[in-house]
Amino acid sequence: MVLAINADNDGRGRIREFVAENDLQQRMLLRGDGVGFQQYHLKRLPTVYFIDRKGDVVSRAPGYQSYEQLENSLQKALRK
Amino acid sequence: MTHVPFLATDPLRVLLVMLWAVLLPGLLLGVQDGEEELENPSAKAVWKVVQVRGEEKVEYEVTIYQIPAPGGNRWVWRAIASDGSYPGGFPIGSMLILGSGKPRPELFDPLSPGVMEMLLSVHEAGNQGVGLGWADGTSVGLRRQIPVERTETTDAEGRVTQVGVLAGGTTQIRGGSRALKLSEFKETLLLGTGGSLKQAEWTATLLRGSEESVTTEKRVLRVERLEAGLIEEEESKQVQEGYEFLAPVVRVLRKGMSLAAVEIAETMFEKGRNDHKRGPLGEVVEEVASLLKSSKKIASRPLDPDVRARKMFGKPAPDFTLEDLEGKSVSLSDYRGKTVMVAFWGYS
Repeated sequence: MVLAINADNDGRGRIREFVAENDLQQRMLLRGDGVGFQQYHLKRLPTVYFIDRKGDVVSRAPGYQSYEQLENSLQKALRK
Repeated sequence: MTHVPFLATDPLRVLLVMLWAVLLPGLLLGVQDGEEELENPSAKAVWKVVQVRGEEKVEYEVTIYQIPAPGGNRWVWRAIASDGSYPGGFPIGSMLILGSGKPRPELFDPLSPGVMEMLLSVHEAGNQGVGLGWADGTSVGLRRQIPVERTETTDAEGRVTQVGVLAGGTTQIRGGSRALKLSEFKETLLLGTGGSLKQAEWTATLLRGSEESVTTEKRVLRVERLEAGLIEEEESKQVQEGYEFLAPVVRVLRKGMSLAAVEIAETMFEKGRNDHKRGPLGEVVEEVASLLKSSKKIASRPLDPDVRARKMFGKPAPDFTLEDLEGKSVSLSDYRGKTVMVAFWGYS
């Protein structure tokens, strides 16, 4: 499951545009600045968190990542 | 008729409130009315709240001030749990109720979903008649309408009990491999003689998962009104001013921002602190003072967010509830049992 959270308070229209342009399939959540910066200690965007089946945080990938790096982190999370 | 759920304590007030409720649309259009009280329908209510989600149980008291806002009313709340913590993460929050539209959580949503669910449920309660109809699922964390069959009984003192029971059997909330179903739902509302809500209970049983592995979760929201009444214009004004003073400070705290931002908030706060520390929101002012202090401490620590983030590894991921593009609420906990990638992004 991939949850995309906009943590920059971008407007709905702008986000819709982005979703359409890039043909994104994941759930797109809005107004995640509070959640991101306070609860998830973000320092920069984008940042991806990997959460296992039990709901525990496994790892995180700050900044732009290659496909291989993300795949690798996801595999680790899936093995938990 | 405009709904005034927590008012109506004695016959005079009942009359005033009902009059106000009838006249409000007129007042909104700028029609003047002779009754002084009707122009400022400020009120205060204290509710006792018990919220159960599976194993988790939270008990708290919430004080709600209803004050005028452009185009409607604002509910400013403060809530304190039985263990002294804030059930919503902050000691104060607000909800805007426009004349016609739906109530809109302000400032501190989405960090305070629990308190917001309670406020929205209290606001919506008692809007329905008997027979087949809809109940607001917000009370049990489902932001959708639930089909119910409602019955109503009136006792000797004129108090009305409305009971709504899930109509049409088990209702699917979400499909897929982690399906979510609502198997039981009951809404019990106790209304006073003025039609105002005095007590309410919402119970639900949710079934999660596919045929092979279904988990059951019970959810309960129980509210009881401890006191309610109109407040004087002076107190209303103090709440209004206190709210306007605290809102920008809390906005900064909510984001947990840089030391510089916290210091600006602190300067802003210290300027007005003495003017507001004795008002109705005085206790909140003191709470915010200590929140500022601890935020400053955290912000001035050399510990950077990366270090704090790494401390989260192996621990439960903080839950959150946010809206998607379609306005549907999504919680991380909806996906328990699945591996989840949470991708935070933005343009800048």
